[in-house]
Amino acid sequence: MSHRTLERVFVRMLFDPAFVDAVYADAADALAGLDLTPAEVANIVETDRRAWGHDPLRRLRTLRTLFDEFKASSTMVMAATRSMTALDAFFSGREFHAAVQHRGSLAGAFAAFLERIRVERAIDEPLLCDVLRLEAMMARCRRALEAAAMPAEGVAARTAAIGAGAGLNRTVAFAAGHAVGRFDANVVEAVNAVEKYLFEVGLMPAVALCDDAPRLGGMPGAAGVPAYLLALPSGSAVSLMPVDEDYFQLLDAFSGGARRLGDAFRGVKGVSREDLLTMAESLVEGGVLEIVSPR
Amino acid sequence: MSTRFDRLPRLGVGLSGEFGSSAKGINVLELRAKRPDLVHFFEFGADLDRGLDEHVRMWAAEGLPTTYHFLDINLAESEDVDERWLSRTSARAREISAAWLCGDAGLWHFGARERGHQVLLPPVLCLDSAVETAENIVRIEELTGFAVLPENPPSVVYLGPLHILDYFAEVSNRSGCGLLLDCAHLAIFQHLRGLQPLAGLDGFPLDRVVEMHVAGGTVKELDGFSYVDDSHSPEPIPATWEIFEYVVERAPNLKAIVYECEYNDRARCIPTFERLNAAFPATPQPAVIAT
Repeated sequence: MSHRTLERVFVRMLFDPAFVDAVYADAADALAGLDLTPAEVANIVETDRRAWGHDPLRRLRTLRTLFDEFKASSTMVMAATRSMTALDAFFSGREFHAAVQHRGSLAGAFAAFLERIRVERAIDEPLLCDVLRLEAMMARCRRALEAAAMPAEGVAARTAAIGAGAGLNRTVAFAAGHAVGRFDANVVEAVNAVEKYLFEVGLMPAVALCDDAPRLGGMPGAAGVPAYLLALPSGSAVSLMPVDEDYFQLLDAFSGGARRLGDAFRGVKGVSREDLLTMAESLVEGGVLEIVSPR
Repeated sequence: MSTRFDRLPRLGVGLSGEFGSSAKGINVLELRAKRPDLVHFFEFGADLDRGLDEHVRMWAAEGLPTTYHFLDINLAESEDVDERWLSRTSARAREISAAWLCGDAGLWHFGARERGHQVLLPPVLCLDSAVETAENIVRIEELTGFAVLPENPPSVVYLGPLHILDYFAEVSNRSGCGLLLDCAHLAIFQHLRGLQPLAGLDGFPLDRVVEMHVAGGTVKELDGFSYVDDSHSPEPIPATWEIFEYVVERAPNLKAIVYECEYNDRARCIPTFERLNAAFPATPQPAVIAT
């Protein structure tokens, strides 16, 4: 299957001139660890080197798509770094190359890249970490929703009543497109502030050329208190809904994957078992959770 | 001798389109109304994300023929041929009564199916990849009930030891599928390899060619590197015409020709539509017998 490996190297070279340089300088080193035959390596370096750079806008177009899902965090990074290159560096980063070579998610790789930039550059934006986690959670939910072959039918088949007693042995998981997270209470306000700014500059993008162009401002500080947000499908998209802390605790028990209800209940503090069972019943009935094993 | 292609309808010359193209570019319904002699079917390019648009639905509602051109399946990757794609694609193709499925046999995305990867890459032109593509075509045909016509994709880089025509001949030989020969894409390949436009066609199974594409291209240069951009501008380059003229005379199972020009000014595309229709009428013309 080395042609698969070769195909992925092909993609990496189209996106990353630094990688092209490395391959042409020392192919054995740049392609080390990949199951390519000597003929395939020769095939790569015998290709006219100029051909790889024929589409100079490819990175920007792809970045534009990624930006759609990471609008707020990307904007906050750009505002902090004042650098387009900071984001464009994604295509030369280890996250991008690993995602392509190992058939990973580009959006997931971009989220990991932004987090690395945040840490490495010590970006002093108190809500950036939470905004990024929120956008990454929603991006994961969109993919889970899209990957579910028949989401409506799947939910309908799995919303049977849990049942008392024996119900604690049932294995339950998030239904496709659902996730929960604990964020700073101002996280949504921060996203809204970025979207307002983007709307304003979007009215006349040429303002980017001006020294007195609007800058991202009015960002809220950290509230210091948590907000619990549930991501859930809304049509073919994903929306957010605030939930109470007890619901968050119960739901978060499934963030790592499917679990027995009884095990999930053990991690929830201050709520009776009967109440937890009632809550779980309502979450299953509402299609947030689904039963993945009957007993 | 009858072939599996006999059951496929002869469609004539058609226009390409995709989601929203009739609103932004050439409106297929208007063109059909003004010049019913030029456009006989609509080839709609679609993906699961965007689906069908109102224009292709209106076209199909009038009982006019369509084909479904996929924009989101990596035919060379077995894991990409998943249940969700199969069921939704076949449902949409049935909704518009598509005559068949077709599309570039390459990579429309890398990794799992996601939007906006901004690639359409050719497969690695080797035997292993051809085998995998053939297996996937057989599977799609079995599970959807549609004939699948793989198309030779455009690129500025092709990797692998095979000529692209030999690759698709192998795919067809192993799967039994018909082929979509994109004349403009083949011209791009030949230009890159420094070959004559017709190189390799003498050994190509022209009896498997069910559909052809014709489109404009633009010769470009990058630091002295010359390539043809698949620009879909109105005027095909001479090599594209040379390939077209050669194949149209020699493809006994040819059913459809698409002129990919939907984002151009309509008036500038008329001469090419006329030329294509003259070469390939929607209904075969009786032979003129000299007396």
